[in-house]
Amino acid sequence: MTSIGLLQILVFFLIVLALTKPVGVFMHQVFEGKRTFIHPIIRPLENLIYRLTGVRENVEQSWVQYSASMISLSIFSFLFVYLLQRLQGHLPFNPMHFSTPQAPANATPMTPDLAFNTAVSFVTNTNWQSYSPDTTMSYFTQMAALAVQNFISAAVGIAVAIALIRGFARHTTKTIGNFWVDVTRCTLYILLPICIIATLIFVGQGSIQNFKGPVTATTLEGASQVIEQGPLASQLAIKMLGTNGGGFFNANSAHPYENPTPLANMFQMLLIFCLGAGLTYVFGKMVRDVRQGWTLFWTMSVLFFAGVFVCYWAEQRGNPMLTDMGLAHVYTGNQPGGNMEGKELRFGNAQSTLFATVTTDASCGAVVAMHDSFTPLGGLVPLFNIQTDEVIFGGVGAGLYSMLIYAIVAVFIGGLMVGRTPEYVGKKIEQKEVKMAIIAVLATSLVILGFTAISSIAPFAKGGYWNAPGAATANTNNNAAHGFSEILYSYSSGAGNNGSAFAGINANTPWYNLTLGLDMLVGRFLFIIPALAIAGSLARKKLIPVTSGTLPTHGTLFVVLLVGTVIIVGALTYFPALSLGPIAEHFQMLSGKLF
Amino acid sequence: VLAYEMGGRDAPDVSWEVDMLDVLYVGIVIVFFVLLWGFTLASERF
Repeated sequence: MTSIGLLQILVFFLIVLALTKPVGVFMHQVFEGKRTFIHPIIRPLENLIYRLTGVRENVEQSWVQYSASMISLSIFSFLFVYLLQRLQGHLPFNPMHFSTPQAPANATPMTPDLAFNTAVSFVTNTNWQSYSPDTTMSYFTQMAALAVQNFISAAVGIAVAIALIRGFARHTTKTIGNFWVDVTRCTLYILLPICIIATLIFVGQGSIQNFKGPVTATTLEGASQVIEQGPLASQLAIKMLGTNGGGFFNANSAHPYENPTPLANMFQMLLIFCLGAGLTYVFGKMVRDVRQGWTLFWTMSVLFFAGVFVCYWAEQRGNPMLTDMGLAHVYTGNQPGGNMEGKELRFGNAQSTLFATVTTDASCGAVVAMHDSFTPLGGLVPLFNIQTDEVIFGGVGAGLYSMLIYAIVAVFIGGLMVGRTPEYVGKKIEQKEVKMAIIAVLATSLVILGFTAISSIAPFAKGGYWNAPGAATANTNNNAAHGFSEILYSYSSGAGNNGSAFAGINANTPWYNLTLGLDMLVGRFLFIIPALAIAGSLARKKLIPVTSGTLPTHGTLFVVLLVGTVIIVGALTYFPALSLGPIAEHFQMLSGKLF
Repeated sequence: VLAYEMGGRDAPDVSWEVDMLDVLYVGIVIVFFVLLWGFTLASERF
């Protein structure tokens, strides 16, 4: 690791730390319905939306009603995105004529299974892309279907987190807020204003924002190169802020238009973390004890530093087989050193590994480097981040509610150890909360490990409908341990609603589109419903006073307990699978074998 | 089988057909959400 690389990581973290309180204070005001500095502009629009949609702002919902609203919005969103994709050949803003007979020869057909996978992917805030956007999606689909879902799915995640916080903060009540009001406020007061500013910054850095068709350039060698255009910058902003991660271009944030400068790269990472970090402060404010929020913040920070340092160390150390061959790959003033395969020279190892960990700490999934090309241990870090439910600042909202579910498991374990009824921020944690927390954690791991296992052995007829390449393992670019990692990463990314690809796997077949779609649905909604059930259960309970027998849930001891819970639950669940993938690959690399 | 012409423009050489695969994939999602709703109601009684 280099000093300049470590300094970049430290500066990034200090900016996140500085943003946490102001962002948290603002979000707290918004969700408490208090006046903010943008009220004069936004409030009339908010009122207009309520009038048009018939939402009664002051009528609150039980957790079941809140869930029903969330499910109905998700069904509508899925159908809308599915239809727009299937109809894009008839819709405007399609200069490349995708889904028409005039489409370029390399265009990807918008088949039902691909439309299903993509619609599920964007509704669940995953943004897994089985297709190459450059050769598949019209501008209209990108804007009206995908970018809209980037806003809605992010707002849903934050709304669920706020509802769960209300469960902890309120007592002896049946209601946890109004879903429609929470989603509307989140979109209007938080997501849209930040995205407008971020879009202008990205345009200032060199991102494009136009409706032109592709332009053809002649390279220095005289070859002809097609350069795609489009309304990129506006989608880039919400892609990062909403921790969606779906690229406008296939290269995602490694594309010069989609990440023009190192400054833009740093700004993108800050957008990924800022709302997740701010939500920890919102938690502290709403439960009337900001120490509780900072405890979650520092728990996330410890996990963040552990991940980024292991990943950076592994990548900067590089591949020992190259050292054995006599190749110099140490850092000098002229070269970044380390493992630079699949990485942007503009960003080097430090920013590439920082981005890789940030995008998997949160459920973003944007990439500046191909995780498939990381060293086995370097690639293990993003994979493990996803598998532990992305609790490190996390996907907007999803990170906090996932961490709170781990906190419930932690106080349950802590309560067992000291022989007392578990309590968390003044609420007794009882059978129902623990059952729901375990369902959430197990459902995700069940689909990840289950689908990975099936895809590792599933035989399909070559040329058949479900998987034309043949067996499901035939879709991977590498065999043995690395190929297994590609499959495991795909299902982890889907269920974790991350959406980043390890790369190296062709997932655009009906088998992968279907199973990854189901994977995403379970990972998203079988986490959200238990979280809302916990919210409803907690809201009904009385607040209990702190006594000498209460396990403190703020301070260093609880940080250690929570970090331990996240790592132990993750390790116990996934170690066998990881040992067949990146861990086996690491030892094989040390013995001189690559895949 | 339905053919769509949207946006007020003719698209004589383009058609979109609702086939059994559309029904299958949309149906899977609808069934998932119905089951999810059942789980939601069951969770109330846990």
